[in-house]
Amino acid sequence: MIENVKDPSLEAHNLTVFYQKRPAIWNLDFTLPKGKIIGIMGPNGSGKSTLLKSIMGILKPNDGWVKVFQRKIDDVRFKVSYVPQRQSIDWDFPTNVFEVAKMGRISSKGLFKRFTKTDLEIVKESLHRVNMYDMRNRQISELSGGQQQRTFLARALSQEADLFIMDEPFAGVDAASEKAIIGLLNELKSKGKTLLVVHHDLHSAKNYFDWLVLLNTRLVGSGPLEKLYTDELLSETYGGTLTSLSKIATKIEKQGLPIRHK
Amino acid sequence: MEKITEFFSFSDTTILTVTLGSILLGILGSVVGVFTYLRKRVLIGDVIAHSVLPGLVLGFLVLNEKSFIVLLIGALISGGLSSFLVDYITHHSKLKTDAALALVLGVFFGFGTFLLTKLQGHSGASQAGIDAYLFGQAAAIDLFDVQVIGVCCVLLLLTLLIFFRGFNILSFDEQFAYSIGMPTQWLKFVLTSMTIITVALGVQLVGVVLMSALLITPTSAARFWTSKVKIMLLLAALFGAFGGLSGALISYLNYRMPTGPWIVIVLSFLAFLSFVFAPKKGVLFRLFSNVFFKIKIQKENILKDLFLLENETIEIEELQEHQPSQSVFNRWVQRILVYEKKIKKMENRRFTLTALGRAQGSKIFERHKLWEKYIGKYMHLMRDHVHTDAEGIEHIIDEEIERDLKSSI
Repeated sequence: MIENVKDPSLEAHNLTVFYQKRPAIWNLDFTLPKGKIIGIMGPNGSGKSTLLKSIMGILKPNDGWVKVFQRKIDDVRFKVSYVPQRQSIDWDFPTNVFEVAKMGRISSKGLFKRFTKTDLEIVKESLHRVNMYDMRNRQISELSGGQQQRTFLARALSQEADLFIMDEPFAGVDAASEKAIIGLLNELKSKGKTLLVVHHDLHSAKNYFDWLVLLNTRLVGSGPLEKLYTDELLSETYGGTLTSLSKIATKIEKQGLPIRHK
Repeated sequence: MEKITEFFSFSDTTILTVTLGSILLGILGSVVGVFTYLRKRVLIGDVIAHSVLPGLVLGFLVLNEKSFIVLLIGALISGGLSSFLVDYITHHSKLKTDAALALVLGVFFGFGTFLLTKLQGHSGASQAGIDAYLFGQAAAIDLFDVQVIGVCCVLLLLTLLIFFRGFNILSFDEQFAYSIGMPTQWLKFVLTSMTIITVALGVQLVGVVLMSALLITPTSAARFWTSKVKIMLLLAALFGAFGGLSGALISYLNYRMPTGPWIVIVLSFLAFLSFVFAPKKGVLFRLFSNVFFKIKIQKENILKDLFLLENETIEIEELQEHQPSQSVFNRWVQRILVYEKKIKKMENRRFTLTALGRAQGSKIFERHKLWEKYIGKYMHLMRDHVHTDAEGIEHIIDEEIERDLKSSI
């Protein structure tokens, strides 16, 4: 079940990325709409984070390509905000909440330009929106999981992007933060922004997303929530019916696979 | 004393060059070390330091004389090669980073030692002092070397200043840095190059074995005192300069004392002091904060009990059962409370609350009740467990939590 859209926010064609010789995502073809909250779902190791990283160009595709707003990612980076997994960084790093949020402004400043008053205003406003302004001087090592995630979101908001790509923003956050985050996502959506969110809780997915991308190394489905959230598709994604696929992947890891295009 | 004034007059050019070289390298090593530390690449510094040895010896073999520039180039090449190999091995083989680091260090250092042994058969090798590169020989630094070190120092510090924003964000969150279009590969290359150059310059002073100490010790010391990268850079540089100066001085004052190792000893001592005495992160502070917390609990308990006594909600016997009031610790805490004018002693040797103490006692009792209510409402705890729980938690609740609790009841 793959539904395509016209004027997509994001388009993947034949996207294949190997992780240490093993296919992590494999021949993904899909288009995503604009102005929606899109959930990327799949079991552990199904390639969700890999997909996000290859959209951002952090991982280079072994085959195929991705286009964002119908352009190469390098041409539209200023329109895209990437929120990595919270656990991917060391929260003992000597810095405070405000400094982290300020990093969001660098995307428009580059390495050398000075921050202006407007920049600092934007950062301040972003911190207010995630309710972290009162904690702006706090060391990031002293934050709870939810506060860490909200700090990351403040940094993303400061980028003033049109597309937000978030890796597990709900993982390990408290209920209040989860509520605040989903509120923020909806607010961004109402302003016409597109949100691409990796998520793994099936139960809450129903209430959060407009569109689903179901992933299990291969693409299981991409389309509006109502059409995708079916027992059949979900069990295909999560149910382990694709065991022969993983056996083939293991063989490829050992023997290699001739890639067609590159 | 006389010797100290003599030292600081810098009348002897050897003293001047050695001191200046030590200070400059101390600063350079610590500043470059800060980002090595923040990027968790401490061990690669050690590997590069050990791996410059074959480059140094080969440089000497080619020219058969000890030219600082040639040795520097040799060191740069083998240092660069080692760092490239570590990256290559981790990305293209089953070996993890730690194994790759150990492997490269072993191979390069082993090869270097082999070359060194071969060289010692050669005539003139020991005069040239090439074997001193193992542990460094500061006295061999001449005016030209210091000039080279000085120029490199200025260039590297400028690079660091210019790219500070990039290095900082790269160290904090590399994926994000890449996602906003920063040239992360290039920044990483510059940082690694800076480390290699610093190591190549520094081995003459402290030797390949101790070089990584020059990179890491001042940084680790600085980390204890601050939570800001910029201040960390300044502090580390200060420590590095102090270490360099002290090392030069100590070796001047004492005949046959090596400069390099003394620099490392001074730096280690600074790190040790930081480890023990730094506020918040130091061992002593943590120890004391534990004691202070115990005192706070005891104080609050006394105030609360006296408050309850005043309101006759508690029997004296019950109170004594709770607290063996004759313990030394308790009497000590009572004395503090008297000093703080929160309680005063009456004629019957009992204590009574002052207005200030009463306010505090009532506050703690209030928090106790608040917590009881809160867990009664949300936690389905057994009735008879609620009180004991609150006995502990009442000391932890602060203004912020109190407000939260009130609003959620």
